[in-house]
Parts: sequence; structure tokens; C-alpha cells
Amino acid sequence: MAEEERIEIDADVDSEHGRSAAVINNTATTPGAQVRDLVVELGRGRWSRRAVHGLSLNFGTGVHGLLGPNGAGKTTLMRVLATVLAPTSGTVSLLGRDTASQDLVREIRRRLGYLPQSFGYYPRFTVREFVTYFAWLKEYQSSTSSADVDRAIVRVGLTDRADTRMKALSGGMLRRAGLAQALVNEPELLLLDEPTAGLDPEQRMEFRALLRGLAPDTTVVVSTHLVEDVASACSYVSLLNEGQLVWSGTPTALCDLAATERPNDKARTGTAGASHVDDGVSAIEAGYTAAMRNHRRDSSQNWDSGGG
Amino acid sequence: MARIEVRRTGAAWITISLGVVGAVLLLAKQPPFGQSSTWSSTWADAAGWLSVTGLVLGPLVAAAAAWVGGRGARHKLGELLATAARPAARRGLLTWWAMLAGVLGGFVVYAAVIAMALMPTVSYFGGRWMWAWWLVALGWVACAGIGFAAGQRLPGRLVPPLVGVAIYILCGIPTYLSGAWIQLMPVGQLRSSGGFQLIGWVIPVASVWLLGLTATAIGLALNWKPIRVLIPAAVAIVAAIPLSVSGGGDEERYAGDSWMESDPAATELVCTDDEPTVCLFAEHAGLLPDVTPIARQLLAAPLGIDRAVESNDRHPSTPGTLPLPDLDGHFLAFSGGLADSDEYRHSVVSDLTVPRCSSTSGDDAIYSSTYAQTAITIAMALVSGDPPNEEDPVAVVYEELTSDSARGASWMTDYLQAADECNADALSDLGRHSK
Repeated sequence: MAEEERIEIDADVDSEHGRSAAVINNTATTPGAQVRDLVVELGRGRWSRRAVHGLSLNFGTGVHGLLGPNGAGKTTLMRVLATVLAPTSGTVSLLGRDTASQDLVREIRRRLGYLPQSFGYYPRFTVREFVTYFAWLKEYQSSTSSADVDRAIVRVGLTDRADTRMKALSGGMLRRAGLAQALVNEPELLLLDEPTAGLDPEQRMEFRALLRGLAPDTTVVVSTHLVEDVASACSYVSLLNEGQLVWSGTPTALCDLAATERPNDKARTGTAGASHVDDGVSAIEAGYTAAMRNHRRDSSQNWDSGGG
Repeated sequence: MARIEVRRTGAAWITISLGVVGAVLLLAKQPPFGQSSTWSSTWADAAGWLSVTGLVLGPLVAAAAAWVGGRGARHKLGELLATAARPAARRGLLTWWAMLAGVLGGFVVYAAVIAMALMPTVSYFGGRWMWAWWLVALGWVACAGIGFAAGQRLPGRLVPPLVGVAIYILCGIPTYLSGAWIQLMPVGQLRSSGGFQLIGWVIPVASVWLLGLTATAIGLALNWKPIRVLIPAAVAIVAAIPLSVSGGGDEERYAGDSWMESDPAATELVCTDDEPTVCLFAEHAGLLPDVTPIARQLLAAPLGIDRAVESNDRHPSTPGTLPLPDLDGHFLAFSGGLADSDEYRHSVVSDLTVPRCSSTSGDDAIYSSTYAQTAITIAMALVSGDPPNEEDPVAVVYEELTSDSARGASWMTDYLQAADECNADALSDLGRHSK
């Protein structure tokens, strides 16, 4: 609870205006990432589709989970935060710098780590070469860069595979190599899109442990559709649906949401995700479901009352 | 980082591939795999060979460059590369340099193989030959630039082979056309050969053309600002204008030879110190020890002359000398020496004795006359010293002419005059009276 007391959560879901906002701040520091009234449209002309609708979010230090169903806009938001995708409107500030300025974007990218949902690699590269190459791409060349590369490889548990070619790695090892390239520059903002996809349960547990062990002054944003990832590794969680913020808070608060919806289950919830409200359904899954239902109900009511 | 970039671009493989293909192309034309007539002992000829084989290697270079240029996209690295702090243009430039190192490495390997083939017989180091090789190398660089741009701009697995085919067609088609402009093609059209050299002003202007072309391609590949692409493009165009309209050197042998001029120093005569004198062009002087015995054996025939001199179209034989055919294409690569002494000897005899008529009717008159043919057979036997078959009726005449040297010399003088004048009647008389 001591940690939660340091956190100020300000979530404002304003479905009436089609805008949503949440501020999750560590009170001591500047947000690692901040988006304001973010709108992202994908495609052009008649094929244009709005993937994010007026989203406002702050991500302070700590591990943030982005939860939502497929098509919720998680990956789009991650790509905007990774400076891959430019917003259609709204502002994005990363590490205290506005991404609208190309000069600042370069500075941001030096301090950014990004693991996309799927990523390519040069098959003949060894893991060490792959990570070294990305250290260079991030302009993280220094006299200690070789040690930094080795440290990143050690952190993801690929020490014994450092000189193995990428094409010889299993799916789980590839993702760990991908994480190593994201970590090699000691990023202040780390973006992980579906990092546990394709991993077996043991690898997933190792990955979550790795997330928990990241530097306390790093802002980590993890996009996932696996609530277990959030429950076990994240300090904060934001729920997205159809490009809008549905709910924002701590995993424990999300678990409590389920209990609020179903008071009889309150006594059975405890640590986020550790206990179950029903057989086979974790507390956080129940909370997630409740939040989604509430959002859909509110949206429907707004529509019925003329808001839509 | 350079090491990783070299690994990433496969530069070592590019070097090895180009070197091996070049060496195979060269060896395929040497005995025992091919005719010796495709090879010569001069740096200028080697530059011509380098250029011609560019029709194969240039497209390979372009395809390899396109393959490297499109690698990131093919391997789906776009998402990760999009978040790289290092600007794309700088990343691309390093990739280009690493890939270019591989291409130039291949050129050096190939050039080294050619130099090894040449060294045993090479004797002439003038004629601006290094600049011809330089322009061929720049042609490879331009092919690499064009391929790299195509690979960067049009990522796809089919792009590299298509770029190679396109370069092959673009550079190959002008071979069948005429005009000074065809030498603007980056590979395949530099018509360097023995006895010729690049015109002085062409070297810097052609260099600017090829480098401008390359810089334009790289600018397009790396998405430079339009002005930074237009500047090298404009410079290249300015350089291309005089190159494509120039009448060129003092002797245009073929269409597209406008970059070359005669190299008088290459065809200065180098002669033996002892008698009878045998002289070769300076560019073939290395073969003097091989040619001298053949020439002296022929000089011993009843010709009434004691001097053999290499000649060609630009330096016709002088009366009273044994004309030795141009030695271009008669050298043996790697080991040196004449590729085929007998063939060369036969060509000397044939050049000297077979009448060369300026009209078809003259040829017809000679070749339709049995007596004229008899005279030719006797003359060839006298010059070569190879007696005809004993059963051949001319064998008796051969014996008579060789046993009486004065008569033989007189007969030969009459024959050479008739052959030189393409006089079918005189040749027939010589043949008839011989019988």
C-alpha cells in the first residue's frame, strides 16, 4: 500500500465528448510519456479509419500495462509513442520533449527502447551482432558499448546464445533478443508491444520477472491482451477499447472493480490476479470484464440520451 | 561497427562472387577452354576486356547492390529502423560504403587476376592504361549506385534480378548501335585496345559523368533533399554533353570509339640487335624472343629480304620487309609466350602470300583459275619451307625453285608483285609455267 500512496491517479473518462483522459503520475518525476487529445487516423481517403479517438494519458515511471481487445488501438498508441507513427492531431510529449520537433525526436529515440509486436532481423547476424547493431542505430556508441551489449544479453538470459545466429533461435529466444536490443541503450522509456506473445508459460514468467526487475526510474509501457501479464508485472493499467480510454488505475483497483460489481466476491479478492472470483477466472480478469461492460453500458446510455 | 556493417551487407560475399565470376570469364576464354585470340599482352587490351566483361559483371554488381539496398525492408526491419536515432540517410550511407567496399574488392580481385595473366608478357606501361581501368571501375560503381537506389526505393525479392536484367539490356543494346553517346553506358562500351589510349580530356569529364550518375543514384536512394540530388544530376548532364557529341580522337575505328586516340608510343618499333632484324611494336616487345625464330625461319625463304616488321592497318608493311601480322590476341595468359606458334607462322605466310584484292571480281578471277591457285600453293610452300606432298605435281616445281636459289628468288619476286597487284593473269602464268 505504501507504493500506492505515492501514486496519484486521475482518470477522466468523458465519453460524452468522445474524449478520454487519464493521468497516472508518480508524484516525483516528469511523465515519461504524455499524450493529449491524441487522434490517429490510419489509411487515406475513403479507406481512412480512426484508430485512436482523442486519447489523453500520462505515463510516469514504473511499468504500465495497456489492456484491451484486438482493435482497441493499443498497437497504434504504442507506435505513436515509439515515434513510428505521427499523430493526426493532438500532442505527444516523450521524456519531456515534444515529438512534433524532428530535432527533439532524435534525442528521444536515443533514450527509447521499443519492441514491436513483430520485428524482423538479419538471419545471419549473431545475437551479439544484432544487439550491437541496434546500439549503434540508437547512437549508443561509447567505450563501454561492448559491455552494454553484453549486459543487455545477460539481462534477457541469452548469454549462452550470444554467438548463435538469429535464424537458429526459437520464437521465445527471438523475443528475448528483441528485448535485448530494446534494453541495450538503458532506455528511460521502454515500449513493449505484446512482449509475451508466442512465449511458453515458463518463458512468460521469466519475462514478467524481467519486467519487474527493470530500473525503477524507467517508464515502461507494455501493450498486451493477457491480463496475467498486467497482474504480475505492472504497477498501473489502462484499458482501451475502440481507440478510447475505458479505465485507468492500479491492477489492484481493477480487481476491486470486479468486487464492486459483485460484492459477494469481495472477500475472495486479494493480491491482483492471485485469487479468483469464479473458477478459472482471475480477479483481474473479472475486473477487466466489468470495466468493459461498464464502458459499453455508459456509451449506450449516452447514445440513448442523445449524446451520440 | 564497420565490421558489422560489412557482415550485414554481405560485402565479403560480393567480393568473392565478383572475383570468381570474373576469373571464370577470363579463364573460359583461355586455352584449353577457349580461343587464345581473345587475349593480348597490353594493359589497354586488358581494359577492353574488363569493359566487355562488364556486360556480365555490371548487372551482377547492380543486382547485388539492389539486394543489399532492399535487405532491411525484405527482413521486415522497417518498424525497428523507424525508431533508430541515427538518421536513415547516414545509416544508408554507411550501408552504401560497406557494400561499395565489397564491389571494389571484387574489382580488385578481378583486376589482380587479369594483371597476373598479363604480367609474364607485358612490356609496355604507357598509354594511360590506368585511367582506362579507372573508368571501368567507376562504371562498376555507377552500376552499384543504380542498383542500390532501386533496392532502397523498390524493396522486393524480384527487384535485384530485374535490375540486373535492366542494366544488361541498357548497356548491351548500344553495342549494336552507333554514335559517340553509347560510351556513356557505365559498362561494356569502353573500347580500349592495343595501340590506342584514352584522350586526355575524356578522363576527367568521363569520371565526372560516372561519379555524378552515382551520386544522383545515391541521393535518390537515401532520399536526399531535391536540391542535393539535382546538383550531381546537373553536373553529370553537363559532363555527358561533350562526351556524347564529341567527334573524339584522330582515328575513329568504330562507332563509339570517340574516347580513344592512337598511342604512337605503343606502336614504335622495338628490334633485335642481331641480324636478320625482327621488329615488333613496343607494346608487344615482350614477345620478341618468341617471334624472332619464326620470323627468321621465314626470312630464310627466297624472298630477297632480311627484315621482319610487325604491321597493322595503321602501320602497313613497308616494301622489302617481311610483314608480321599484328600480335594482338596471340599471347598466352598467365604463362606468357605465343598461344600457338604454328598458327602465328601460318598467318604470317598467309598474310604475305595470299593475294588481297580490293574487288570481288579480282578475287573471283584468282580463285577461279587453277593455275593461279597452283602459284599460291607454291608461294606458300616456298615461304613456309614446308614442302608439298610428294604426290602433288607442284612438289617437283618446289624442288626446282628451292634447289636454284636465284631462280626461286626471281619467281618469288614476280609472284609477290602479281599478288600485290591482284593480277590474276600474271599469277596464272606463274602457275602454268611452273607446271
